Amino acid sequence: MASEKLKALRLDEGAAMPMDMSSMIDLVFLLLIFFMVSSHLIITQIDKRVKPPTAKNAAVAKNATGRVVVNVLADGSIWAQDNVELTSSEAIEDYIDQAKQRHDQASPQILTRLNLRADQDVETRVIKKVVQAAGKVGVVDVIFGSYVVER
Amino acid sequence: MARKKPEQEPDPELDMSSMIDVSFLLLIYFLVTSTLDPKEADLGMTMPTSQSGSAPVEIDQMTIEVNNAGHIVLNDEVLDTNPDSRDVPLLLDRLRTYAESANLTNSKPLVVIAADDAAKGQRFIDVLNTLADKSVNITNVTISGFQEE
Repeated sequence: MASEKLKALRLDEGAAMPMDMSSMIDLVFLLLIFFMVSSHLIITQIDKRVKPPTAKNAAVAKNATGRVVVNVLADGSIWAQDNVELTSSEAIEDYIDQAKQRHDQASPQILTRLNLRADQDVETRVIKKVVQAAGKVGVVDVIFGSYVVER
Repeated sequence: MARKKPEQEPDPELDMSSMIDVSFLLLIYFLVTSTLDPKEADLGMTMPTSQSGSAPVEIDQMTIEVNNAGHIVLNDEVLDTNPDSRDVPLLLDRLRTYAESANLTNSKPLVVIAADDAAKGQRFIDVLNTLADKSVNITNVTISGFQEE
C-alpha cells in the first residue's frame, strides 16, 4: 500500500518539472556585462585594404594610446584614419600635427607615436615620405604595423 | 440569480526555449561563417633627436643599404640576396657583433637604413625586424635618403 503511494508521488514529480530559465539568463547577462566593463579594447581602426608585412620579432601591443594611424596602400596612396586621403607632404604633416596636439592636450604624459600601416608591396619611397613628415612635426617614435606569422 | 463570474485571465507565460533555439542557431551560424583576422603587432623604431640627454661615447653608426632588387648591402659588401626570404642571417650576425661592441664601449648603437626608393616595404621591415631581434635589440634607427623639398 505505502509503496504504491510513494511510486505515484515519484511519478508525479518527474512528470512536471518546470525549469526556470530566468535566473540563468540573469547570470549570463551579468557575466557579459562584467567582461564588457573589465576588458579594454585596443581601438585602432584597421584599413582592410592594407596587407601588412611580416616580422616575427614584432610584439602585439598592450595599449594603443597616443597613436596616430597612417595607412599606406600598395599603390602608394596615403590615407588618414578616417578614410581621408592625404595627397601631399603638407597634408600628412598637418594631419599628424593636429592629432599630436589633440593628444598632448588629453594626456600629455604619453608620447605621441606614429603607427604606420604600410602595405608589404609599397615602395620604400612612400614610407620615407611619411616618416619624414612625422619627424618634421616632432613625432619620432614610429611603429610599423606587421603580422608576426606569415599569411 | 446567476451572477456572471469575472473571467480570470490565465497567467501569461513566456516560453523561452524557442528563443534560445534561435539564438544558438545564430551563434553557430556566425561561428562557422566568421574568419578571425590575425592580430596586428608592432615593430618600433625611434628616430634620434637632437635633444638627447647625456652624450654617450661615440660609436660609428652602421649604415645598412637596401637596394632596389631587395639585396642588403653593408659597407659595399652584399649580404643577403634573397628578397623572398624573411630571414637575413648574415645581417643578423653582423648586427650582433655591432650591438656587442656598442655594449662593451657603453655607447648607444645607431643604425641608418638607406633604402632605395623602389625597394619593397617588406624588405625594409625585414631589416627593422632583424634590429628588433632579442640578441640585437637596437631601436635607435634613422632612415636616410629623405627627399629634399
